Amino acid sequence: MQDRKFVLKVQKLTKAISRRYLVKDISFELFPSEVLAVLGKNGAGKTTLLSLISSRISLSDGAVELEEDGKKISFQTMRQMLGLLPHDLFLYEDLTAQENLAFFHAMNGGVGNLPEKALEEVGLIHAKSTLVREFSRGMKQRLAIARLLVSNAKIWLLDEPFTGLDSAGRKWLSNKIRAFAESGGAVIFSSHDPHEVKTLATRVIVLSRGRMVLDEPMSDATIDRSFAIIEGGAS
Amino acid sequence: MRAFFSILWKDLLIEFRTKDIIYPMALFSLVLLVIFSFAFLQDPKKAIDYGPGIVWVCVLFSSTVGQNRLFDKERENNCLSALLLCPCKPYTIFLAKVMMHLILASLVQLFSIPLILVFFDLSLVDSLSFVASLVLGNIGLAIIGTLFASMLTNSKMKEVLLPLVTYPLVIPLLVAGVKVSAIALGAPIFEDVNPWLRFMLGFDLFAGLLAFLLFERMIRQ
Amino acid sequence: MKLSLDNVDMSISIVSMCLLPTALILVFFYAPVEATLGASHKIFYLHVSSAISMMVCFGLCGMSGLIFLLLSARQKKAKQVFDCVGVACAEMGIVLGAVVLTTGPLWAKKAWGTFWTWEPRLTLSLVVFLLFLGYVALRSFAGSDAFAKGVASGLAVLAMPLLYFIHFAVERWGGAHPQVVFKGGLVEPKMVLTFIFTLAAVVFTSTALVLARFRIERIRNKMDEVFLALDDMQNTEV
Repeated sequence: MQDRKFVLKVQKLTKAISRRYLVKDISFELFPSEVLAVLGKNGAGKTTLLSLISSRISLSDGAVELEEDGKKISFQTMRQMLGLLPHDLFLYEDLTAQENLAFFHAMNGGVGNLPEKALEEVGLIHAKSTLVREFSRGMKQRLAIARLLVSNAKIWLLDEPFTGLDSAGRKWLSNKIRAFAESGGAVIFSSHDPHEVKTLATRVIVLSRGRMVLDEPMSDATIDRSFAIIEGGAS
Repeated sequence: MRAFFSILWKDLLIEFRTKDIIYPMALFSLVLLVIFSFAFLQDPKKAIDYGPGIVWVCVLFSSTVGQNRLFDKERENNCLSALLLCPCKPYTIFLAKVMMHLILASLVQLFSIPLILVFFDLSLVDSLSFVASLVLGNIGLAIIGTLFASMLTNSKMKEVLLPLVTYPLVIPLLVAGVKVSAIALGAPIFEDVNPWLRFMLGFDLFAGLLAFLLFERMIRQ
Repeated sequence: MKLSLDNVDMSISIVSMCLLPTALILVFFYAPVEATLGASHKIFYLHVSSAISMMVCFGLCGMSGLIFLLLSARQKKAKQVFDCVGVACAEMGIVLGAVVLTTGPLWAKKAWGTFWTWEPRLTLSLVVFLLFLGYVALRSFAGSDAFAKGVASGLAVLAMPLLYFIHFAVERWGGAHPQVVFKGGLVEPKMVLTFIFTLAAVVFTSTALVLARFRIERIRNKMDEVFLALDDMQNTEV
């Protein structure tokens, strides 16, 4: 990981579909080594927010900008630096783990042996020739992380990455996220369980009905407040 | 460029393993052919009247079946978004899919067209023109079909919408293809094939150009 | 009078309401009865006028589709306008197409003895009709967001130049069938006058209807905006 300073600026992100706002006026900034947790009930707009930032879906209003060393980066390069891990994982079920990684690696213009190294890093090297269809959820998750590693993204956008994982899997993922952040990357991940994020996040954002209602550094009080908002408000 | 081959290779690899597209296309062509034989083949001497048309209907219908299936795999894994998020131009994805469709359609037709010739007892008088018309026709069908199949892959009624939208647009290919095939199969039509083949080529170039200009705009809405 | 959409709409409607009955009267009582075909020939006034209007709608639909696609996603209001124009023209095109495809065979039956011959112009009208149907089907069934509108616009844009190919193909294909000459019979000045009147009547009526449909679509969009604002009000107090 290079030690360049970058800033992800999210400004007044808005997405509306015919009669409803999915998210409205979300703004924040993200710095290297930050782990930002996006909390909210189901339907609060967490997935939409991550999809908007990664440009998977188009904005209705607002902007996402990435600055490196004070200079604004082009849209194309920004896309390459953002790595999205959506809930539906983006993996081809009929290919082996190795083939999946090789494909995404090639698509991102990479050369060299990165897929192999990534498989080792996530502990799937033994299953590299197995079809993804036969993987468990935890294994697929790990392969998806490997895909992020292979794409050399500096900012990870993880959509509810902890769902479907057993406690060993959760521990593994937390460690991976922490390691990535420590090496200079930034992570945004969404969750609907506030306690889960306690040990991992450095900052918390709470969404309710598409609006941002909380944006604070991590603390016990923050967790309690988030909990209250999520439990209290309707979605 | 590299992205083009990566996508094509990936699609071919998946197809080679699952055969999810090519089997339906081939089987559908076969069934269609048998039905047409029963429906039209009252008088073997008249086969030349129907033969060319049936060839092209089979090509058209199996092409539509293939196009619907082509994007099913992407939709199942929700990977179309993943592809679009990659740094390559969207048009590269489009070209790779068109190429994939062409390869599959050619394979299926290598199997089904000779069968049609056999069932209807047609003899190839001018095989070069016949093949040329099929090649040009498939290219045009692939371009227009893939253009709309990629857009419609997530909608509810895509199996109905795709033919409804693409068939009127490919009528020129159909008309020209049937004409050339009829002449190439020895029908008593005294026309030259070359204007029609040039027509098909012009159509393909034009459609390709339009698809190039429109694809990115349409998919980014 | 101010030049607002309301007033333009109103004036066009009034003009068309005057023109249409006048045209009908002219067609039935003023225009001479044709020698060989008899009174049935008079249907051609409506038929050709509708065909011309239909092709104009087709062109407008294609152009607005093109502009829709060329505008960037930020220019939402402008995009909306052109999408509304497109759908209004497409639906009018369906109506006009139905008129053309009904009057055509009716005339053909009297003139040639069969309802349908694969005559190039009529076949082309059929294809255009199908394209209009496809456009409206796309917009109705492929979702209601901007994406579906984009796809439909793409169809319209593609259809415009490809129509040349389709026209060429249909014409060459229908080589064996007799070419029906439509405009060859307009010799007498009374016929010319009737035709111009009918054409004007159809054009004005179509325009009035397109405007009406356009405004309905705009109102629908405005309703969406109202709901959005309501949603905003309800939820920002959280």
